Amino acid sequence: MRRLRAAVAAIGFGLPLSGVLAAASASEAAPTAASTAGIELSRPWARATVTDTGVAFLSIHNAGPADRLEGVSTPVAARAGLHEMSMSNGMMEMRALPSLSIPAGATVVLSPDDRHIMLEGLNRRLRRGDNFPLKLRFQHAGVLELQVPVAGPGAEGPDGAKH
Amino acid sequence: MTNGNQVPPATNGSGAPSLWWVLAPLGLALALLGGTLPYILSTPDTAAMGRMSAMRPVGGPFRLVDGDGRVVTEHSWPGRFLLIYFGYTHCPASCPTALNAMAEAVDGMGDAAGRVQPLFITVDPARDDRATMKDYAAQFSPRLSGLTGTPAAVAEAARHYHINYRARPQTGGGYAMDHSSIVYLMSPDGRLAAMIPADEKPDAMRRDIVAAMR
Repeated sequence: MRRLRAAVAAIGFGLPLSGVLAAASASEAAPTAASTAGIELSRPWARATVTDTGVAFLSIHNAGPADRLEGVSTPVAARAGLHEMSMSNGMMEMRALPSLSIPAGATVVLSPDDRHIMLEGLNRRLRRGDNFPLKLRFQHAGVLELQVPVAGPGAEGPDGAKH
Repeated sequence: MTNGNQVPPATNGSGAPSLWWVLAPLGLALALLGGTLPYILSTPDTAAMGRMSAMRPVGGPFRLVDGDGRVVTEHSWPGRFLLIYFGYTHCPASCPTALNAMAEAVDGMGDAAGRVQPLFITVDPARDDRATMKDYAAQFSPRLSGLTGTPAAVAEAARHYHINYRARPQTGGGYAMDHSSIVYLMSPDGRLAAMIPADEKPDAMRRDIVAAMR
């Protein structure tokens, strides 16, 4: 269900709407959606933090040829990377993913259920209602930046979304 | 805000992982011979949980410290059901999901909420001191109590609740904890009342809790 909604919410029409979103989040430079060369980022969100570890999620739609997410960075954390959670013999395990395949035509949804962007060494506490910039580097589409709004600490989606 | 980059010594709630893996198939065999698994869950981990339950009961004594520095044990909430989850505050995905579901489930129970005490017990005492646990638990619900203790006290509690955990070093420094992820409802007499999948939605978790409290 969430995947469907994310696909529908994928925003691919650049500047005009970006401008509106940027204005809405006041004084923030980057929009909360980004698009280039077939890659469309939407529905970014993060969980509020207490420790120096945080987590961010978003949907990545690829309207172009197959691509690959190769890196993530943000000025609010010393390290940012892709992680995958899995259950193995009743143990919740977390592994770093070197990269993430974004097949042509696919919508890849990062969610608390499996893959996520791990933020380590946060230099500030992420508080509900905050925004922070996140850069994603794709093999073909290059670097895309967007603003990530912070939801509650146990949120299952961005604020304002039904979960 | 805590910042720990030292990986603590490998720890395992059961104390003897190799022995556990030897005993697990035996437990399964016993469970099958016994005819019924004690608890039925609709998750892929049913078999693993069944094996554990077949070996020895879930639950037992613990002696930990709450966010205000009080020493607490399994007898500290007389007459109440204990809703228990083991995790850690640097946990990005599974723990917040479980704790949020626990908080919403209990907060939405009306008067019956007073009969349930939600507990969050860390498996990462090296980083999770009581102030961190207090701060973290309060984010989810004022009812939720975050418990920590010495590594030995945590290991002892985890052992009684069949929780395995170990530190996994992360590329670039620091570590994450792999850990068993399950929500337990313990009855006031200390017996296991329900095992609830940790990724269950709040409403479903509330139904499970209410059904088990009858």
